[in-house]
Order: sequence, then structure tokens, then C-alpha cells
Amino acid sequence: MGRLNFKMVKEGYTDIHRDIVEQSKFGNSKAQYQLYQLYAKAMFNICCRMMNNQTEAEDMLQEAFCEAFINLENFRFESSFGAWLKRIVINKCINALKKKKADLVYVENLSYFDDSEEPYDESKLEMDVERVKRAVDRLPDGYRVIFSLYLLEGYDHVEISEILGISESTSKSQYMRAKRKVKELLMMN
Amino acid sequence: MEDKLEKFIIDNRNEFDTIEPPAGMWDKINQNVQKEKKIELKPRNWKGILWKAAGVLIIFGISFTLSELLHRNDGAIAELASESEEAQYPQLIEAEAYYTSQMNKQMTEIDKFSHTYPELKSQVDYDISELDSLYQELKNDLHDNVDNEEVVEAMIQNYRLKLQILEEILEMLNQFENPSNEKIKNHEI
Repeated sequence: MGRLNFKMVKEGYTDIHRDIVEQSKFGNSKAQYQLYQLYAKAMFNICCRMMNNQTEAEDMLQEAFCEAFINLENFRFESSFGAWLKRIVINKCINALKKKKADLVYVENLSYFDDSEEPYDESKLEMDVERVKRAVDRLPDGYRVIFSLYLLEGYDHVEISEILGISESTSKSQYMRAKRKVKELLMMN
Repeated sequence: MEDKLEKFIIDNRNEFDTIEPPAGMWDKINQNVQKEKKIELKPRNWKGILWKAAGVLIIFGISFTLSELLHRNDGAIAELASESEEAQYPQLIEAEAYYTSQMNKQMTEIDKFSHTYPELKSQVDYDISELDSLYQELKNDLHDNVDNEEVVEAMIQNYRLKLQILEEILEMLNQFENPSNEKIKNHEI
């Protein structure tokens, strides 16, 4: 329910900016600046999580916004502008990660995770945002990407499988492993 | 079925977007977008128009050539068709051969009188040419392939009529030459 509400609120929110999007389509840079102000922070944080490197994240943000404004005429309001922009941002990041030969599907010898019982007492998990963020940042690329896409960007496994070109079940198992890894890291610190 | 970690992240989702995009980012994006637009606009205006013009010319050329070819083919096909259509009716070919030879005979006979009755000769030519054009129309009717038996009948009738006219005129001329024959008054053109 939480995921669903979160998504709906976001998409309702973006449709309010339809007229700004229309003006931006005509190359109105004031309108484009408004869109930038509305979305830059959220998009930049996505880039940071995906790339795990601030300089690269800045490059991705710049490239994604440029591409979005240049191709804005192709945007037909089939989704919200935010969702459209987010896909551009995520595709940029994933392509960059692939160029870096990052393993987007992390299949190291970690199968003991699946066999072992939950080694942690959930109630003992102490969480604050900074600690969780640090733990996510320490995940290998593949885990971090899937964990972020699912839990923070709100994509489901079908969407993630399309974005990453993997099967739905791979997406699910990768996410489960990533989540376990985050918990493990949280217990360690 | 959310576990503690998932619930924590979803509940505190907004806390995770904390990093501000760098200050100069908008200027870079705007510069790039403007540059891209200029690059896109200038050559596109020039080359675009030229290409479009060339395209229009090519399309005109192709369609003109095509229609020429098609019409030429139309003519050839029509000729073939008309030949074959007439060939489908052997009685027509026989009639044509018979009546043409008969008419030629009568015509040579009539020609003998042409110096004495020049206006008669021109009248005959006129009548025959009228019937010829009627014949041509009947021939066209054959193309329509409707009631062809009747059309062929009419064509033969047309020959018969021409020959009859010639015969009657000749008879009349002969009677002019031999006034003793009383039949003369029954024949008018």
C-alpha cells in the first residue's frame, strides 16, 4: 500500500505541471528552468544512487536533462513528465554503468545468503536514514541498482526486468539478496 | 509483507533525497540545449528545404514517368485486346473480308460515273464514312464485353447496309445510263 500511494501521489503531482511542459516543448527556456527546478534534486539523487560517484552523477544529470529538453517534442503525456524524465535518467545511468563494465547482475558466490536462516534479529536492526544510505552505497553495483530501482524509485520487478534486460525472477532474487546484504551491513556497523 | 527495512525506507522516502544538484548545472544544461537547437535549426533550414524540394521533384518525376508508362501500356494492351476481341468472332472476319471485296468492286464501278455525277460520288463517300464511324463505335462496344453477340450482329449489318447502298446507287446510275428501265423512280439516296 505504501508503495502504491507513494507512486500515485508522485504522478498526480507531475500532471499539475502540464502547461509548463507544453511551454518547454516550444523551447521556452524559462519554462524549462521551472521544470529543472522541480525535478533536478530528485533526479540528481537518483543519479547519485545509481552511479555511487558524485562527478559521474553530475554528468548523468546534465546529459539526461539535455536529452529530455531536446526530445521533449516526443513526449506525448502518455505518462507523467516526471516518470518520462526518470526513465531517461535511469537509462543514461545504466548505459554509463554498462560502459564501465559494471556487473549489473551480481552473481558472485553469495548463495549462502539464500540457504541461511535470517541471521539477524529484525527487532535489533537500528536504522536511521544516514546509516541505511551508507549501507546501500556499499552494495556492489548490481545490488545497489536493483535495490534502488525497487525500493526507492518505486519500479516493480516487471519494469526492472525491462529496464535492465533481465528476467523478472532474476530481478526478484537479486533484490532479495541485495536487501539481505543491506541488513547485514546495518548489523555490522 | 514489508519487512522492517522496506517499511523504514518507504516511510522515510523523502529523507533519502538530500543531495543538492551543483549550482552551475542549469547554465550548462541550458547552454547545451540552446547550442543543440542552433545546430539543429540552421543546417536543417537550408538542407531541409533543398531535400524537400528535391524530394518533391523526384516524386513528380516518378509519377509522370509512371503514368506515361502506364498509358503507353494501356494503348498497347487496348490494341491487343481489340485485335483479340475481333479475332474471337470468325464470322466478323469473314464478313469483313467478303463485304470489303464486294464494296471495292461496287466502288470501282461507281467511280466510273464520278466524272459525270461528282456530287453523287461525294454523297456516297459521305454516307460510307458515316457508316464507317458507326462501325468504329460498334468496335469500341466490343471492348465493353456486353451483349457482344448483338454487337457483332450490328457490325455485320453495318457492312450489309454499306454494300446495299453501293449496290442501289450503282443500279440507279445504270438506270440513268439506260432510261428504258422504269425502276429508276424508286431509288433515292
